[in-house]
Amino acid sequence: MRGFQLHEPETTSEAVDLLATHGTQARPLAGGTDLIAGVMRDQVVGKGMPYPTHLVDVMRVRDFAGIHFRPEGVTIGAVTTLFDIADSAALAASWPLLTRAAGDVASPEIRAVGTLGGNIHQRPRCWFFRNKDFDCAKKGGDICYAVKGDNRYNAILGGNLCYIVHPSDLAMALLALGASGRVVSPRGERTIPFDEYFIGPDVDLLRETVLEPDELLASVTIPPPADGSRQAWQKINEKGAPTWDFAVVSAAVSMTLGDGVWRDGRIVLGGVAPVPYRARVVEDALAGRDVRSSLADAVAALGRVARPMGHNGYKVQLIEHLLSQVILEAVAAEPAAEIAGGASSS
Amino acid sequence: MTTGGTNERTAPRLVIVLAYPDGSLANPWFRAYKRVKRGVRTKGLNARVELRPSTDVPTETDVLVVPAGTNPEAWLVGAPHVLTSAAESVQADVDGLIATLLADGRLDYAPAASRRSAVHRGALPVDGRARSLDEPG
Repeated sequence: MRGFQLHEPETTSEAVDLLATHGTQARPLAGGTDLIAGVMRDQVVGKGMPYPTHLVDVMRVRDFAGIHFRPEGVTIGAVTTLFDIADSAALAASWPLLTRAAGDVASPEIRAVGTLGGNIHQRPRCWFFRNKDFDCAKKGGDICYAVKGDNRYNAILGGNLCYIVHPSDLAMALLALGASGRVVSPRGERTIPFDEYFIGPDVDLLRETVLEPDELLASVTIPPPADGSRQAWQKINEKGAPTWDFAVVSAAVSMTLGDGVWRDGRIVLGGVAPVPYRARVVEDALAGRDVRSSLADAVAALGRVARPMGHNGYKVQLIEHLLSQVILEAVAAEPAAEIAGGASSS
Repeated sequence: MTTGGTNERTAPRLVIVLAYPDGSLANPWFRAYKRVKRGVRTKGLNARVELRPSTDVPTETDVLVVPAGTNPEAWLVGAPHVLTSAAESVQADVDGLIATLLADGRLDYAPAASRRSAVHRGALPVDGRARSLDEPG
């Protein structure tokens, strides 16, 4: 691994000023399970993706820490570990989708160190992107090697000159829960709904989020669950439980029903697209209909919009089957509890 | 620089760089780069087209093309030709500049030998035409 300079700011302004000073040579560092143990160790660099020579350790910035419950929702600091999220009984009562997703990430060791912000902003797992010998389009190179290469794990939806899949389980869950991110920079702060947070290669080849190089995610806020909200989450990895691996496909559902009829909700799919994929085509097919009786037709709508590549056609059936299971699980789930309110942790 | 064989090449006379803001490569700009590169190759020009972030523009750049709304002076001082262009018009803008450079003699076509495609069967170069491996010589 090449050398780097480690900065340890203690305030938000120090952290964002460091990022602004060093530009794309700097990266924010939290648990480091992807940045150090993956991207830097494996020399994942390219013409448009320089090796980071300045790491800005954000773990000491108080503004980025803690889980705070308020009547208007819960705010989770970006450096909160996945373990703390998965272990929170209060979060599990109102947002079981989130705690299930957090508890399914990687291994216990990684969850003890990995953070919410790091999980959301981890880089793609595409093996061409991760291999230092391929200067692929996502790293500023000329082509996407997945187009003609082994693309068994690549996108079946939404690819455009690059066919990565978004790797974050928590991003799926947070999008399904209607969360928003508070983003800070030298210019102040802004709140970005997760509906607008992620961008695919159809917008920008080098980025997976709308964040500028000098911006940091400070915290995520999740609104209270809708009255009677039912949530479910599952992911399939290649070797099956209990192996700890990235999802081949995953599905997150948060919905409200009225006598078995879909009233409102969100369906988000992972492992299929360069962004957490909001399956509006399925939501629209379920809207106002009895979920159980219209489920098969609704899920089949995915097959009509999917564009599988040479080696990943299996993902279409797999995600249709998984999504059916997850929706039925949500239908049978106990409604999420209202926010207990008041109790916060730092 | 390699000499001899079917892939004899000389250094390109003109270096065209499409640059983008550090850390962000808009899809339309990437597509524009591919079009310009393909156009130069198709025309057989003695030029090289590259795509680079603003912090890594080579000093030998002859033509710097930057997206509309950016400040090329901050990216490279001294490129003989600087074009500011929108993605949808960059092909036409570069074509116009190339026509001017050809007329002025500051750009020419690549030598015929270097423009010949190299044919390989597996790892073996094949001179001129495809032959069966069973053929002598």
